[in-house]
Amino acid sequence: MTERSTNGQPLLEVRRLKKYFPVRSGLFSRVSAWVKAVDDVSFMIQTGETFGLVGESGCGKTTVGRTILRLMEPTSGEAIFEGENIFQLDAKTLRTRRRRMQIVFQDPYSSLNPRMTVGSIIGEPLVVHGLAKGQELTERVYHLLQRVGLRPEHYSRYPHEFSGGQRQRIGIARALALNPKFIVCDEAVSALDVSIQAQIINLLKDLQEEYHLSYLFITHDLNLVEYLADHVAVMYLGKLAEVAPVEALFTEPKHPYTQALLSANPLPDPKATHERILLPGDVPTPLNPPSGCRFHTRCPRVMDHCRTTEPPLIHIGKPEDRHTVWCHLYEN
Amino acid sequence: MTSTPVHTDVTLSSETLAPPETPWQEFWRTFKKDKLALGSTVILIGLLIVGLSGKIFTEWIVVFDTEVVRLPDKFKPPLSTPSQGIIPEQDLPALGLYLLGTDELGRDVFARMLQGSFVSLSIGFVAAGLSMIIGVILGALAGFFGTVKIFKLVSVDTLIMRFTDVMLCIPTFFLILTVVALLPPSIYNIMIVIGLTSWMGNCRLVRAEILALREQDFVQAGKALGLPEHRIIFRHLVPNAMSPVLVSTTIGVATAILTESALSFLGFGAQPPHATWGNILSDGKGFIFDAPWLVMIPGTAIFVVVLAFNLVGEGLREALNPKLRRR
Repeated sequence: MTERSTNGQPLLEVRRLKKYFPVRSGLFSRVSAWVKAVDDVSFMIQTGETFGLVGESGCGKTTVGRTILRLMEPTSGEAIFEGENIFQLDAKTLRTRRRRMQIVFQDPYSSLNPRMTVGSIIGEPLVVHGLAKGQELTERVYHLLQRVGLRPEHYSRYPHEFSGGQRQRIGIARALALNPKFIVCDEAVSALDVSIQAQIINLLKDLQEEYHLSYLFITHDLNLVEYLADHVAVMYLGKLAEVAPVEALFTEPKHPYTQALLSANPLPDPKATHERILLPGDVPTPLNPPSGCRFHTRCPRVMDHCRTTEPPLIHIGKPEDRHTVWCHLYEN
Repeated sequence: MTSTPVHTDVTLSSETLAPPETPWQEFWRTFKKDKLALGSTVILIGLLIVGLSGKIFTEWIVVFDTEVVRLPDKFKPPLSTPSQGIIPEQDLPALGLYLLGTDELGRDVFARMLQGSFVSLSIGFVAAGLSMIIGVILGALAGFFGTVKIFKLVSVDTLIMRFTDVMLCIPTFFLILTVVALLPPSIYNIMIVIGLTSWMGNCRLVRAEILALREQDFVQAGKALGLPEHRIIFRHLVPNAMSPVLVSTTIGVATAILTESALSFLGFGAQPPHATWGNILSDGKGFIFDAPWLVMIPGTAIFVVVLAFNLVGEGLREALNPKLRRR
């Protein structure tokens, strides 16, 4: 799989990504500890696929998304996007590569500059990258507005005149302006109410088909992932627990954490009963993560060597299925 | 029951739509709704014309002579006529009467006010403008590049903010006095010195605003879109941080005019016999009971300018902030 050929090559391959945040304290603000927000994460995203990244709050999902786009500098690791390591690009090349990868944010209220009109928010990337100006610029912005389900007369309005869902559409139009191949949706619909969520999700699906986009869909909503994603990664405390095709993950989850997570997911049928796997305790602090397997403090199937040895990557089935789990239970 | 389709596929050309408003048209449309601010702008523009004509008619084409001393006519109240027969023909005031009275040397206060208006207004504008520009630039740099280290030793933020603290520690007025005493006495030096010693408040305001704004997603979005840093700072951050600065600058104009008056009072301002509103006021102070107009006239003029500036500032703040606009 590491062999790169023109057709089998993944759009994005993240290898051993680490992001540690320093904790400073004392008189000279020395670095006294590191928060290991993302610790050795590897996965790959194929062209045209939606890759879901799930996990509870604070497990490092957002940090993964933002380091891939170099909105934060990674501590170490590689992110190969279309054959190039994003983490090694100099500022100038990075600026041109940014046209290929974009982000849609969670909070539609803080993600738009309150002092710019919708037209200039969406048109700005086109102007800065020298892609359009004058009449052509206006036309392209009108087209984008229409494409995301807004009306051309919204062009000269300000963000505060819109509802959350409409603002999220503006954010999507801005991300689409540069015609990217890959979009990170960082909890893109969690701030919206359910009916609007459905509209935005369908918009994202339509756009994916039309522009052959790949998404990294970061969320904590398992139902969304099941509906939208092709491939899912489950994160726990800065590390991946399991990566699997969506059907495999939801029908036969392997990692005990995935199993617990799925059992906590509410079902739409109020009469349906299913066994809840209740995890004892809280998520440990990423400042001082547990030794061995990070999940061992709460794992219902913990074994002795889980406490001391880090679990290796184990393929379930054939490697082409891209179903991997990091758990001692599946050794041999 | 008719349902409207969600996506109407109308092909659009810009001919079907009115061209979007330019930011200036929009700014003007909202600004002119605020009658107080609009009136104040008119007053300020009027004062600027007065200031310019003052410069022209008292110094280049001398219509109103500020330097004629008429001792028999000292302390004449406003609108009084010159004493017939005593004042020589060529020393009579241009309008045939003392429009704003005379001072302790019998000089025409109207002519002196005209001459002073140019100096006072330009000091207000230049000094406050300079302090705003320096404050905004330094504050934006400190806020945006906060943690970037210079020579791996101090961060940009520490460097700029400690320098600001140092500047704040120095008693500004004495610094101005020292600098003005060392430099050749010129009105331009005074403007620049006042500007260079009053930017610290603006700098702190802008830095604080930018520190808060920097974490907002729209800045991250700008970064993700590959916008150059200067564009993120000056197009996205600074406009959002300007409201407190605009208010502080309008007050700064007033302070600068008053600082110049204080300097004039101590003899470091514009050199006599050149008149400024400040030195007319401070000279007249000694005769406040005998000739109250000597204090009232420049005092009122300063008050009007300061008030007009504050109202314009308020109007600007409103017109530049989309959320405060009433459509």
